[in-house]
Amino acid sequence: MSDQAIDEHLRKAYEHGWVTDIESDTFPPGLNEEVIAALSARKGEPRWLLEWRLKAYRHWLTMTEPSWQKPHHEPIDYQSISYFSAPKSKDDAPKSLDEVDPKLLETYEKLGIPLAERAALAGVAVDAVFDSVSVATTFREELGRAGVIFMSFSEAVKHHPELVKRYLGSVVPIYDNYYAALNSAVFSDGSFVFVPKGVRCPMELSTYFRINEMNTGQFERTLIVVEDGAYVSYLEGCTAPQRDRNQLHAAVVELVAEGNGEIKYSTVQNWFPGDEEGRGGIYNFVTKRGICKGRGSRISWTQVETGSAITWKYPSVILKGDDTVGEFYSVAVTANRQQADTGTKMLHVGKNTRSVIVSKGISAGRADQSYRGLVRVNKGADNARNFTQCDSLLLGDRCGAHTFPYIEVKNPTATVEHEATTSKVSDEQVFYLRQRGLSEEDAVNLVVNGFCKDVFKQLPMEFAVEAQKLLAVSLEGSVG
Amino acid sequence: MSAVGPTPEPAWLTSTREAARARFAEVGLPSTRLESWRWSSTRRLADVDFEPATGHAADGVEAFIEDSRIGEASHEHVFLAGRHLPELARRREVSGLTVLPLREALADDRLRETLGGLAAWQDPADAFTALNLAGLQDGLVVHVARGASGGLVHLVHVAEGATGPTSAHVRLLVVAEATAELTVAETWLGHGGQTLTTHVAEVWLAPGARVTHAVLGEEPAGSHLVHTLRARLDRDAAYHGHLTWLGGGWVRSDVDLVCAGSGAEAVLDGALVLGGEAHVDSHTRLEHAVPHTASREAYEAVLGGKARGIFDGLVVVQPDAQQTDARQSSRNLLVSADATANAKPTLEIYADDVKCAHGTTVGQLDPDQLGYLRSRGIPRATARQLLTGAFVAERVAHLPSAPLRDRLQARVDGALARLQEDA
Repeated sequence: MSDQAIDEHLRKAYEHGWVTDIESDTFPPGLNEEVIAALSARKGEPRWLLEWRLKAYRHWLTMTEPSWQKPHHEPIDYQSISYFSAPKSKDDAPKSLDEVDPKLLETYEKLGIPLAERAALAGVAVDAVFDSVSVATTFREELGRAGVIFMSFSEAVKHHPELVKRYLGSVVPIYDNYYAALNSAVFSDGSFVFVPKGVRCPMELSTYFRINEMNTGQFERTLIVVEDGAYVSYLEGCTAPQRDRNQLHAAVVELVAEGNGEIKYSTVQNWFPGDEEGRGGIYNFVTKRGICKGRGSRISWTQVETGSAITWKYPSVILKGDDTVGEFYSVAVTANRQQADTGTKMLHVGKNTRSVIVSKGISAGRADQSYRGLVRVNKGADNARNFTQCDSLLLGDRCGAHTFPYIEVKNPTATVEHEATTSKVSDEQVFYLRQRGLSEEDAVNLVVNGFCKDVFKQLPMEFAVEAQKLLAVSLEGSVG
Repeated sequence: MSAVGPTPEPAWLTSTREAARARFAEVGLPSTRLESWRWSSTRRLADVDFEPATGHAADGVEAFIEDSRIGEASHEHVFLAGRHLPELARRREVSGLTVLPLREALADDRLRETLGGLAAWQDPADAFTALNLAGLQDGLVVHVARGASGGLVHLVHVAEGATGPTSAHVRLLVVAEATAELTVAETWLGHGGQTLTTHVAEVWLAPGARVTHAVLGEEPAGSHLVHTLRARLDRDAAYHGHLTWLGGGWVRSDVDLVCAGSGAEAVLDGALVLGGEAHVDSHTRLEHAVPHTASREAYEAVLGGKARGIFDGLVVVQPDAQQTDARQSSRNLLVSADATANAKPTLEIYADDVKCAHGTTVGQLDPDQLGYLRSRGIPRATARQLLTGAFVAERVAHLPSAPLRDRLQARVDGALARLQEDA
């Protein structure tokens, strides 16, 4: 492919770059205890939650921003962020889809998720988060019959305060890290899932996040709990409109799996990555952690990361119960000036615990990407087993790919293996495919798809299709 | 701190020494908050008053080192607590090879360019290099002329802490001119007691030079060694570093090899057989600065007792360093319940047309292999010894110099046997 063609493709404007104009109810920028109190009051939260937020805020004030990570960014002015934003339509609380603002529906249309049809066809219940407030929830009844609670976080606080109180902050405590503390203080909304004992959630749960208000930091809070023997598969996906100011997104996701419970958490992330000079993209600083609490429980993270100017997250699993399993499958694509520092932590505490890490990084243009992971086997974690494979594919001679795996083993019965390779798409492979009549671009796509197959096959069907499409779009023209 | 030697110290060294001393006073000992020191606490050093050793008699040293001597060496120099003992040196005339104790070599102004030219000391993580410079006592300077073959130069260091905690700060400077060849060996021994030794080795390889550098660490419990090794490889140069740690003390091994000319090839082998409360932190960095260079790095550790083995290896491929071929591996075998292995094999790659791979394993002896050997009538203990021996055998075999290899094999066997007795 010629340089010109590459440049053309790299310059390609963001597909989902548009802003829906809806009158919104937004706090003026700034952060102090009053703002938090106002935010909490606005959401009608109980006293204990406000106190929890304030405790987090006071702790956050004592912390300093971390600086060990590879990606660099301009300093963030936390006082210039608005900490609450709700679409107006919330006030007249739509009872059904017909009552939802048509512009909202239009937004979903563009995103390819017409709620009713797609949900019905695909059997997916969608709790769509449009900025900070959930405006539509479907299939609540069907889930209700199974005993599954799936609602926005604010609703859960109202209807199931005892569950929220028991689990909130139990996996990611408020003092965990700078951005988790900030999130705990100001989290806007998010999803809450509770699957009771022995229930296999009848459908895949899905939430689409969108960041749609100018200068509004998004602080999502997701909490998923499965009781003994329960199972849930949760899908998270996002696209965002184009804008010119960097936006901070500091979400916290907590997963709790009790005995023999299983959580499968899949993410496709496609936020605005910034223009070709890296201006205006989303800062995606997320804390995701799960705990396999009970014996035989299992948590699996699958992620496809193609968006954001900076992605910085390490979905982790604490393997506390005996015979527990943690999995992490990741494809991260960075092009232009995108930066990604991502990986996982597998903390083996219980006996006979197993973890698998498969990370595939693809770096193009002037992008910079790091895998950073930790596998720790504690003293009592007899017969722990870990396998880690992290491969990087380089497309272009000005990109970077880095691997920082940490391995700490304190038990002699552990078996820990780590493998990593870095290479470019081989000329021989491309030549072979071209000789069979494929265009260079198709050839590279084929090779890249093969490279990512181990991860894609972990995704639920609905997502796998979107993921492959995203990958092709993200990398279009980056090869030559 | 006393000056280096009888010959007046050159002004440039005095001023660098002062600056390094000021820097060390400012940054202090590295803390575990520094990423490169996260697994090695220096707190144990902070409370001990290490004093430079003075006036230790060389009596007894001769007998003590007898087993470590290498008959084939063209030069053999012995240091006691950081001081060169001329009476124990053995010298053989080799054309093109110049070996001088540092204090004698200082008169040569060329040292100004090379001594300290590779080992930076400003960064807080390099505090021990600053300390080394500030307290520098002696060392060895080896020069091999263009095209010459220098044979084998052997340094024996004996730490001495029997009469109270002592410190020693020594250096090694090797300059191999174009197409020169040299094998340099270091042996680290100790009499016991609390000791702190900092050593900075700098190796300059001119185009086409070939240097093999074998380090054998056998300091006992109570010793602390900060071993810093820096090498710069010019075009088509080949450097083979081979480090074996068998002692019972605390070791920080810091290696930084830079392939600065195309065609350069760096090989780094590490072997650890540790028991007791030994702590060895191997910190390695292999930099590919230009196109067409290669590196091979392999570390193998057998960890018993309460020992801790740390491998923190970094491979850096700079922008435009295309056609780099780098392989890195770290394998760890835990043979006791209280041993710990930490590994962090890291790749930082800024070029696309490269082949880089790394692998790490941590595990125990394969029960199937043990079972097989036992089914052939081999007693359990012997089977274990055979398999642990086999685990590090490849590293020993990789040492190119035959006399060094034979000596190393015997030492490794001894260390494995000690591990077996403890178990």
